[in-house]
Amino acid sequence: MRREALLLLWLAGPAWAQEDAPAEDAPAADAPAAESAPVAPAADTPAAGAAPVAPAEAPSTPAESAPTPPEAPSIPAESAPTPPEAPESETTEAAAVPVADEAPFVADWRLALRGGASFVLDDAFDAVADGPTTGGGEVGVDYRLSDSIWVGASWSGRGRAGDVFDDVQTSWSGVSLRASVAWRHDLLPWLDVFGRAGPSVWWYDLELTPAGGSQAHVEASTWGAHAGLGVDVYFLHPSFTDDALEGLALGLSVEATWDQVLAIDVADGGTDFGDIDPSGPGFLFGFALAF
Amino acid sequence: MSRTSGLWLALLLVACGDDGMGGAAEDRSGDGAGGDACFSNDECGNGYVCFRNQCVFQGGGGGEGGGAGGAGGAPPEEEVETAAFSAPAVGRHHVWVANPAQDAVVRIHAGTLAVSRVAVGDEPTVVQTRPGHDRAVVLNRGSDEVTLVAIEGAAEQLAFFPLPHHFNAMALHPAGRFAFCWLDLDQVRPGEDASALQDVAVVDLVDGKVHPVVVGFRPSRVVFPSDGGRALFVTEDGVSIIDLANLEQGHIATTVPVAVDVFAHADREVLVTPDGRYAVSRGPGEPGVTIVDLEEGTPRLAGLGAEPTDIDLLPDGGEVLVMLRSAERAARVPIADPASATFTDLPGQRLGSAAVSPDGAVAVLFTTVAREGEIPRVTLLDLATGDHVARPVRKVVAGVSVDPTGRVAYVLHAKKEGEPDPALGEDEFLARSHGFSLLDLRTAFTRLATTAAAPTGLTFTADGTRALVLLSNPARGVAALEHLDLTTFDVRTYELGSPPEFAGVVPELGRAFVTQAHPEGRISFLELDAPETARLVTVSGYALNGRIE
Amino acid sequence: MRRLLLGLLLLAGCDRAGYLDRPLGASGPYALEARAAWLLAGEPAVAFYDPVADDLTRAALDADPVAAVPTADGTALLVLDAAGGATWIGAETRRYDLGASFTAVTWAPDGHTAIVHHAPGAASGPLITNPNQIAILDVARPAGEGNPVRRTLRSFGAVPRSVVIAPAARVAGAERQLAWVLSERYLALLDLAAPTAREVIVHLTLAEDAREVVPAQVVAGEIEGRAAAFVRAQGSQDVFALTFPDEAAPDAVPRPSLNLLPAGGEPSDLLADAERVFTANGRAGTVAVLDPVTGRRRVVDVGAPVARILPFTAPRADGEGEGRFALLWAPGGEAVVFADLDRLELRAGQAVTPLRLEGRVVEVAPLPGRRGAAARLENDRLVLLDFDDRTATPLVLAGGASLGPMRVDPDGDRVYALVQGGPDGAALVTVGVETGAPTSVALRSGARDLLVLPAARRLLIDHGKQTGEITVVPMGAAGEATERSNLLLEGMFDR
Repeated sequence: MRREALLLLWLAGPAWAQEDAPAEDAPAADAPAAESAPVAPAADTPAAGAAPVAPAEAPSTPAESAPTPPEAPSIPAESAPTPPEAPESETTEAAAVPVADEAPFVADWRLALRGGASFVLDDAFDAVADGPTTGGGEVGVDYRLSDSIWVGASWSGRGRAGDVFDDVQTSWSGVSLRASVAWRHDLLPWLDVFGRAGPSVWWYDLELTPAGGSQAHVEASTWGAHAGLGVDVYFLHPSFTDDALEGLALGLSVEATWDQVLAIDVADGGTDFGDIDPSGPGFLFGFALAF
Repeated sequence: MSRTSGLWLALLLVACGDDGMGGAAEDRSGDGAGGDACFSNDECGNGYVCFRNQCVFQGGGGGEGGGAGGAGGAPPEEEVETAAFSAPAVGRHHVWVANPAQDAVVRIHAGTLAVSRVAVGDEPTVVQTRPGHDRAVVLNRGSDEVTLVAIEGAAEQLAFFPLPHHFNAMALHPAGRFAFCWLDLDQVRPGEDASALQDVAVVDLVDGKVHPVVVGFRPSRVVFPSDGGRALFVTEDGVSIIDLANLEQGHIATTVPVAVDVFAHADREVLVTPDGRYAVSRGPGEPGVTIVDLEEGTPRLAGLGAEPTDIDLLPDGGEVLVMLRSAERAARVPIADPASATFTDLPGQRLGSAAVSPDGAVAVLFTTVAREGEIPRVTLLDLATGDHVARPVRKVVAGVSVDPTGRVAYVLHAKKEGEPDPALGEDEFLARSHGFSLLDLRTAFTRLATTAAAPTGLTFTADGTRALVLLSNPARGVAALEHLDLTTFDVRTYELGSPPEFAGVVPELGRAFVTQAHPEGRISFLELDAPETARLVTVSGYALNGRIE
Repeated sequence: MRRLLLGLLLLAGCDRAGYLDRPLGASGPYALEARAAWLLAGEPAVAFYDPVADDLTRAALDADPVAAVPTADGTALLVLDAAGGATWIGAETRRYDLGASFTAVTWAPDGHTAIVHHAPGAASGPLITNPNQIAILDVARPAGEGNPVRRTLRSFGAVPRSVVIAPAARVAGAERQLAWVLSERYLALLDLAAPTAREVIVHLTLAEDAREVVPAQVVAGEIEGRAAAFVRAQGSQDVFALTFPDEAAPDAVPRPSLNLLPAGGEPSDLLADAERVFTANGRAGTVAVLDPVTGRRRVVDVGAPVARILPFTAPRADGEGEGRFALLWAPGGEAVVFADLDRLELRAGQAVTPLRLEGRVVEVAPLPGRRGAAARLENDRLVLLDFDDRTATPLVLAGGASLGPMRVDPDGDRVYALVQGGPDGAALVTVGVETGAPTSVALRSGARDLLVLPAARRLLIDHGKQTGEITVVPMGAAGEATERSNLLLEGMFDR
């Protein structure tokens, strides 16, 4: 139950943070519908200082052309994530500075390099570290199959070092190769929401090093599945400038993830240490490059 | 045969009964050359005399010789009392031992070896019992009181009697009702209260009263006459008489002088007849014995023509045997009529001491003075006939005791300074050895036994068949009990775990005991009935039994 | 966002079970008949390892363990904890409230009665303890009224050093089980058949005696058919013989009588039979034969320091049936001595046969079911002693190798020993007693202790690691050794 409570907190967190966060942290859902003010990135990102555009300064656009800012994607409180229904939008992403006479930028490829944390919900992980958190990252590539459907592959890694019984050092790491099918929707030319899912294969490595004792080294692989919901915000987008930033968009990507993995059996040297289920939520945050 | 082995052979022969003198070994069992019954000298062979109906070899000069009669100036006889004062007391079945360090007396059952500790007063040093009774009277030197311990079933009943002065000696009246306490100046420790030099406390153990009595100076011992109604204290002022029927608080006992010269009461040997009627004494320089009728009170010197060197009462109390060494004679003096004294001449024999057998039949005459070139000897005097025979002994005599039946004399020998070394020759070797001899008073057969240490603590059994002697030399690790069979003259040695202190006999159980020096107490018991299979059973740490709680 | 994540992390880190943050606190292993056990103070729990099933099980404890003692038959373990309790783990688990945190257990020969007490010098949980407190426990019965019996012995200023429990016997007219609590200068005598009866104190010195006399050994015996006990004490040259009366109240402790038997030296070991008491007098190189009835002593020079007496019976060479013999030896001595106990008192030196060894003896282990023993010497030699032939067969290690713990097969067929520093590093050496042929099998490094698990027919080598590193070797099949690492972490993720 403890881990479920954490998950609930994690899910509810954005709602709380929305009230406390400064204006530049407010998600786009709170922006006036008529405005096309871009979703401000996280306050500590470089784009934060570049983006603010007061609604009053925004050129007027036909209301019908102004995109209706979609509701901020809500992650359901249930532990099993499902990609939310993407809001229908017939509009294309609005550029901050529309160039009425240029073709909208459509990227076919997307590279993402992100880091983040994940949480192991299994209590067995207490024997690895004194918390469920593992740090890691992912590098992935996606390819547009259609307007909304992308396929991709990514390479993810995570790890945690800790200790148990005061003098047994632990080292937990895992890498995975993922395939995914994503649904992506451009809320704005520079703002995408997406959801993805797919299978993954994990390779875990656990080391137990007792002080003065024999190290136990366990390697295991297992299958799993992953899913995620995220948002890409491009702070550099062809729609922002008339400079020759053609065909390239650079931005930030944040994603809430869930990994569901088959439990692995940890055994070494004749000793069966037990099973660990590394499944759990996580998040990724980093850079996305679309081209 | 080498000289040394010859010497050992000689010793062996001596131990086996060969006296080595005059050739033929003397057979104790008797042959024509000694031990045969006889009634007169004619019935015995050449060189033999009929002594006490036994033919005893005397040879040609056996009864003579030894040098001219001694004049004055010879060293005094120093007879060693071989009958030791046994500090433990013997009751009916128990041996009682004072344990001053624990302020207790320990009683040990001679049969079961069960040990019981009884807490009494402070520093008990003297314990006395009535033979055949399990009651003990204890003098507590530290708390100046007497404790009466009576066994009631499995427990002890105690009664305490405070004393008026500090005393360190005690004697128990044979009837058991009275205990007498006095100060023995010879046992006073440095710093001890020695003020009661003329005080005696008579403790009535029945009514609990303590009667202080003033007696003569330095009481040394108490004698209980056969009538049981008096106690006679031998003091340096004379004999103090305590009438037990008339004990009054703080009275002065009548003291009868024992010397004609009132200034001559020190250094006297005083004897009291068993009936308590007379006291006989001798003193330095007096040419006779002084006899005083204790009822009449006037001492009178019975002149004997020479200074007595020893006096011994005959058992019936009617006569005293007086040794006149310088005159080479012995005198038998009727106490009631000293003028009719008879003399036995002992020409050439300067014998100054005597020991009389308890039955009064024979006296053993000897001297403790060693004379260069003179063969040590003892002379047996038939007190009935006056006949006497002389016997050589191997070593200078230090003392003689006769067993209760008068059959055997135990002759304690003196030791010459130096280590016994066979290489020095037989005589010197023997002279430097400790030892004793057993002397058959009928056949005059003598058996010498050398010992590893000075024999002490002689104890006879009541039937005279056995005697016990203790050997103790802690520096050489000698601790032993010698069991002497007075019938067979067999000497059996039992090793002890600690130096022996006192020996005694528990007649009711047929056991002898010997206490030993041990921080926690040690006592051994020996069955007397079957000496060939007898075991020495030892109880050690009996003082610790008082600390089992 | 950052604040949110930080909050999550903090929440995530506060709930791990406490024992995971404490050291494992493993102590042991303790050899039981068929298993080995470790105390895990961190959990707290006891971990049992079955080498046949290769299975580790745990039994939880209610409080931190302080000490553990296997029962005499090796089928169960009694664990003392810091909360003043004792947990008996056998066919079932039972906990007893002892009322104090004890540190030592002495089992009675019956295998289920024990006296729980304080070991001298042991550190225990409470700030202050009364070392004269004991508890009398019967693990065959559940906890309840009268089980355990908690007592405080009368003390005379000393702290109990050890406890000895004699076999049940008829003493003083009743069936009793006497127990002795040994303290400096005195003993306390209890009757476990009447556990609440007032103890009898036997002082070994007089009150004014300042010697340090410490009782070290109590041997049950008899004197002329009466029950007795013989006590040896350091600082005393006497053997204390305690005899009991013929009758005493069944509900009271019988009060013995004391007799000192002079031993002729300060004895190091004691042996009593129906007629005599034998003492080995250490560096004096003598053996004393004491007659407990007469107190008579015969001291025999045996020509070598002897501090231990290992008795055995054997047929006499002259065909006069069986006789009583003993192997006498001393730690640090360079010889062992064979003694004919039946003839020692009469024949003295003719009844002893010394045998010089090329090295100083460290330990001697008798071979069960055989008239022989295995000895370990300081120069890293193993020696097989044959009592019948009076021979000593040395086994020599390669240069640089050192001999470690030595154990004997329960059937007496083999001797096992750990070896360090040899060509293979650590190794287990097995020597067949019949043939004297040695074999060895290499072990991984760090072999620290060797346990024999008789019922499992296994040897267990402990490599001294906190998380449990062992090698299991079947007896008689050293080549089939199996290794386990981190044994005590087994199942850590499943809990």
